[in-house]
Amino acid sequence: MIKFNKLLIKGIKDYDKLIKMVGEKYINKEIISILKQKIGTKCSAIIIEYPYYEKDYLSTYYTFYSKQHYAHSKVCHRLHFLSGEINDLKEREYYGYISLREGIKNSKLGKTYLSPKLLLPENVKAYLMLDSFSANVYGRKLYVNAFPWMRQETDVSVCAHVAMWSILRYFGNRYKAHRDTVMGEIVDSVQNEKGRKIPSHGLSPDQIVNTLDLYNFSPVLLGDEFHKLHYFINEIIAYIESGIPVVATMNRKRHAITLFGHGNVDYDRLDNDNVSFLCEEGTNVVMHSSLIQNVYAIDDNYFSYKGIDPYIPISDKDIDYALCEINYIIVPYCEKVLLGFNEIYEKFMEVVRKKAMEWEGLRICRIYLTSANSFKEKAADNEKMNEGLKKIIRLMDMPRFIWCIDLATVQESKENLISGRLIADSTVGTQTENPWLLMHNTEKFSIISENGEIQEGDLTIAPYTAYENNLKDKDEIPVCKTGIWEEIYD
Amino acid sequence: MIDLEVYDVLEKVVDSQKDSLAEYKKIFLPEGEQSKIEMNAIQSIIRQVVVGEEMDLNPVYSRLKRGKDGYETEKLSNLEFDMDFLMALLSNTPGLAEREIWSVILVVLSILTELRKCKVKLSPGMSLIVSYLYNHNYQRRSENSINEERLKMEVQEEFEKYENIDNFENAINGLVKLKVISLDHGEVQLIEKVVK
Repeated sequence: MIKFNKLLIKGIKDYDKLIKMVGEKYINKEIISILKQKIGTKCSAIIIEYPYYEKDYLSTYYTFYSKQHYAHSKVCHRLHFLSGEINDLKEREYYGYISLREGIKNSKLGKTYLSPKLLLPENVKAYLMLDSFSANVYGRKLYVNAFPWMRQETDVSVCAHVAMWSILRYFGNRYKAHRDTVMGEIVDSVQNEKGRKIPSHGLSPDQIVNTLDLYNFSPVLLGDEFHKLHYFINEIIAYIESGIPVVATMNRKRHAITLFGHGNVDYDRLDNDNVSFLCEEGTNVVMHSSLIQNVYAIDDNYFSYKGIDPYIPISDKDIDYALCEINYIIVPYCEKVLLGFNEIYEKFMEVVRKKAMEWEGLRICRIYLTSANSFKEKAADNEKMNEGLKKIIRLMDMPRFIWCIDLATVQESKENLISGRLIADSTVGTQTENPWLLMHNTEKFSIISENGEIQEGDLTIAPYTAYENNLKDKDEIPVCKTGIWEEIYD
Repeated sequence: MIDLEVYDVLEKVVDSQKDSLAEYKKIFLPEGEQSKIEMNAIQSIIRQVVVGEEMDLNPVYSRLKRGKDGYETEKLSNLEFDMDFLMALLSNTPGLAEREIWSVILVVLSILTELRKCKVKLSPGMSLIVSYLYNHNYQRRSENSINEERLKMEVQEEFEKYENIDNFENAINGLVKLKVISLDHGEVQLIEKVVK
């Protein structure tokens, strides 16, 4: 029989009761301390479920633990986190769950789907890739908007495995084109020329690329071993804005993480008189990425949703590295996308410098990849978009994925509006001179056809709402309401 | 390429300087002012400013040994530290007070001084000060009493008088006279003590 125990969290010390309720094989003081520090009294109730058959742990159990001399349990505990009562129906908000497995020290922390609302302070802005993950609890289907996280199991899986797993689980849950997988399968898929796969001593960037390649991605390895100020923040932000989580590796730290969101966009920097130093060389364009204060990572060493600073880690005392230390990123592209960020960036700079179309004054530029279907859908619903432009976009023949470059003045940026745009075909070759499909400013547009013919027209285009689809504002994500607490007998 | 074990050593050396960071912050930061820089940041900074690509590809490097004086190493490869890069990191991190930047610089110098016992080459501390001064608003520039080019020349001339790091205190005093930086005598002595 499955047992459901209930624990009310009225104060921090109530977490200590978990030691007795769950048992020391599955939880220890370090984990209790993490829960106290990271969740605290944001959660007011925990449901403890046992036994729970966690599929990722089972996949590694049969690969590794079942072969050991001393017996390991193959079942887990699952802790479900709830808020206080919110209405007369005695419903609570469901914030997700942590699975606890038998393991050494903090490797007991297994698959975890927790809402960023539980772990990030209210005053912190976060724009994250999140998907809805379900949990069947006591006959009820609950859901939580989260990004997958787990602690590495050390011998079986290390940081690079967890980084890949988080991306594969996210894609597998979100997109039908990608099948879901389990940690054991990922470990087994890694090609290792130096001998056995378990116990693992870490993976190289090449191994990560080759493994992702097996899962219907067309991954690209970017970066180099010896960079100093080589710093691809623009690129990282573009992929994040595109809804593509990337694996980032740091040689000197010997660590791999997943980057999947970003923090506050500091528009106040644009009010500074010295804003020109933010502009791209020889232009009046400021990259939106230069205003972003931090990037969110899944790091298996720390609990979920960690903000990473660009140059020196000052925001979070737990983190002892910065984005500047990243040597490589592995981007899990869809195979249909041939044109990368660097190529589209260079071509855009060419347009700006040659003034192929003019956008007056200082412009904030955001570059991202998106599906043509989503783009058209958002355009159709965009109440502020000029109707003529809307019609052009809805009728345009586009490939499955397009690069978009949105341009806005300082004031428009603050109001989430844009007044200039370029759209490019992501499937053209890297040597194609003109990847553009459409570009416009406030007065005219150009449509470029397949044979290179340009159709221009005059159109007065007022600023309209910027495209938002790939990232979710942590403050606006829905939370599942449930009466399960009352339904479960004590 | 730097042997990865070097980073393990550096991490231990940095960790040994946590009291230094606390001490410098007490001196340089006004009472009650919160500091943004903690030891996690120093760990990251040190890892980033180590330069190794130009080095001997066969580093004769050993493990860290505990000696009676704390610790010592047998040999270290010729590590170098890029102080200009340090200044770039500090300059690009918003919200750091000037005084806090000084405390970071001093902790980094302490760490490098500690490593000196292990025959580590240092890039000149002078470039550190000069780079910092060029990139920040300080008294004379804000008063607009002198143009930047001329100021750059004066500072350079001042430094050229002092060829090695043992004259650091004199160099700092020279800069104080030029009113380029404002440090009191105690602070100057502290810097000199660290660097020596």
